[in-house]
Amino acid sequence: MINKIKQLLSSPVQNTTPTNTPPSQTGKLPFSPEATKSFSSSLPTLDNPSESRDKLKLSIVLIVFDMPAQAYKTLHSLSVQYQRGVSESDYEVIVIENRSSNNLQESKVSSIGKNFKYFLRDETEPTPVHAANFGIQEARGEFVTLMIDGARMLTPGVVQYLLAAYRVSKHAIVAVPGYHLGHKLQQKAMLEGYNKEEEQTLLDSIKWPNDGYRLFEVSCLSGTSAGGFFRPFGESNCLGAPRQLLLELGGLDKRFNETGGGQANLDLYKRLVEHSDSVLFCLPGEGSFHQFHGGVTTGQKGEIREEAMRAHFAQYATIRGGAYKPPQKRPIYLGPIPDGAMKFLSKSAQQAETTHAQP
Amino acid sequence: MPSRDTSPLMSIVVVVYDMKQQAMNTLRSLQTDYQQRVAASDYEVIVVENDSASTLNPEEISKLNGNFHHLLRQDTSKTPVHACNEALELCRGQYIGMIIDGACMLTPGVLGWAKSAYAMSEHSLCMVPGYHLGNKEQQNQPDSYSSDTEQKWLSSVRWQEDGYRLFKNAHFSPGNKHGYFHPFMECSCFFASRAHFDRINGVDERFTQLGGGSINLHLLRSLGYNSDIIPVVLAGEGNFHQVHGGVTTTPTTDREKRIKNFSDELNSHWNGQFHALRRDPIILGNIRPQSLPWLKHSSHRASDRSTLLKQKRKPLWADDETLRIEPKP
Repeated sequence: MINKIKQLLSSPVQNTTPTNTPPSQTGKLPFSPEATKSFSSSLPTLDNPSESRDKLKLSIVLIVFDMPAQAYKTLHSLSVQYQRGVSESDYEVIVIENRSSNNLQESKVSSIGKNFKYFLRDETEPTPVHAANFGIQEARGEFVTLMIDGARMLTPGVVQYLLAAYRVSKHAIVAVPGYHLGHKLQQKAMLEGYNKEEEQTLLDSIKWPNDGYRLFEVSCLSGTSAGGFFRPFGESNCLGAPRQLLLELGGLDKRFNETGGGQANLDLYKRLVEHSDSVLFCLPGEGSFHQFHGGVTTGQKGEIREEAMRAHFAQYATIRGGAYKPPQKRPIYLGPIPDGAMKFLSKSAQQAETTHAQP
Repeated sequence: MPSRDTSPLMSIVVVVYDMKQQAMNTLRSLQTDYQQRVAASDYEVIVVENDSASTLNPEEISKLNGNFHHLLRQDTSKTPVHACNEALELCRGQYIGMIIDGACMLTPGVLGWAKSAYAMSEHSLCMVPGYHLGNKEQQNQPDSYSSDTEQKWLSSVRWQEDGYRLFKNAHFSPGNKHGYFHPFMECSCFFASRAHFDRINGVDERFTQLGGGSINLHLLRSLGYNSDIIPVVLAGEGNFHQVHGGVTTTPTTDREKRIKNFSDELNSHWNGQFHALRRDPIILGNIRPQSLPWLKHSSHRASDRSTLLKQKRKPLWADDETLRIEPKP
């Protein structure tokens, strides 16, 4: 069974052709994701916790392409020097890099910790999905966390509470809320001059990495988490799931071959969360913070970005038969709330209170 | 009394004295068909009652769904501490819930999340935020607000169909009046492992004042002030105190004096330095829409507290520092 799934994961890509997209009626791009403001009325179910406590539990798969400066910061945020309450034997970090003219140095990655592994791949398509699926195959942990964008640095409790969620339920799907560094979404901020230098100034102002929770002071919720913690997320860029379930679902869908993977991560999030066994967790006191690096949807201007987004939405609609709609499963909230995250918690409650349908 | 052959995971101790109507509501809120995500085999409820003119009806208890065990005790000491310790002796579970005031009814997620807290760590000290039914603290209610008023309201909202409706007519209790992101002074429903109760030798029997005085505060801090303990707050759940003529929740003329005596006794056991539990808690559970206003209030007050403590250059979680716990957020 496992071999068959592995074969499925590594089989050649079948190209898809987006269907003709309908004209926009509302000013939004065709097949833009639908807004979902409330959870379903069903309560979270709980099964038994994970049983074996002696094996390696967690593998974190980090995908990198042409962003060494940002990726090194992300890697530091995954190290035991930065993550609290865990040791190297608790988790492994698998770094998969698609070759570019600007690669990480393997020796530098390995020097971060004994639990770090590095793979450099030659990729012919502009998508991270094959790299991610390769990383899932390489993972030894029962629980895998996928970080599809290597430019997202973390708060210091992420690893500890990923593990805690898995102790509560062996079917845990864990969503770490996403943020953008800077006080506006980066695709908007860049139009006003936001760049890597300004971002470094922000990081210096909070003395990062001395206290990683200060990232909340210089960030805003990213687009797919913008409704706050008490409305459905569109995705998570630090997404934990049981390895077996990832394998059963075939990992990321290889048909998402748009630049940056298009909506591959959203699609995986939805499939994982909507799986009947899944128990969704949200870590409201932690975050993954996007660094500016000229990414497809966060670092391109005007028409170039719009064209990319249009293609992403169209490809999703072609593959899934309609616009993306976030999963509505109710999450279990877990973890401490650091001082800096209180304002996001409070705002999230306010947002949900104003529109939440009573169950 | 329960057999020790098939031990449940959890034992919940409910201490009762002269509060028949309120205690029955509390016990109903512990039934298997009310509590979610737990099975009857997961827990037992040990009801220890000190004899009074108004005791529970054993037959009524026997009809409840779940494993309820009722012990009627003869105790003239006016304190619940001996009843607590007798109940602890009877508990078969590894994880023990303590409701020292039997008038505190629960929301339906409490036992399921307590079970999860224990799955996460056997060192979880799982605290259920406390509320008073009614729109203000019960000792500040006018004379027109009575037990009858409250019980009529409870019937009118059909709380047994959806226990989260209790949030509609509630007020944070004085023990955590600033919300659950402030240090807990008192918690009327909490869970800790059998080993942790044993470590502190159960419930301190020196607390002999009426109603046990501040025994509940002492017990929470004694358990929580330990570097092994992981404080967990069930932010979306609550325990709701009903009016029953209790020692500190009834507006009597000597209330202030009585509370001062309780406070003096408490400080005498903590070298004059008793504090609320200043440990950074983990939240766990689902947040239902009905509890969102309380979460918002708690987060606002947490931000106010943080600002104030920063100005004073004091730590947010002083006990974590004293216990040398690695700084959590």
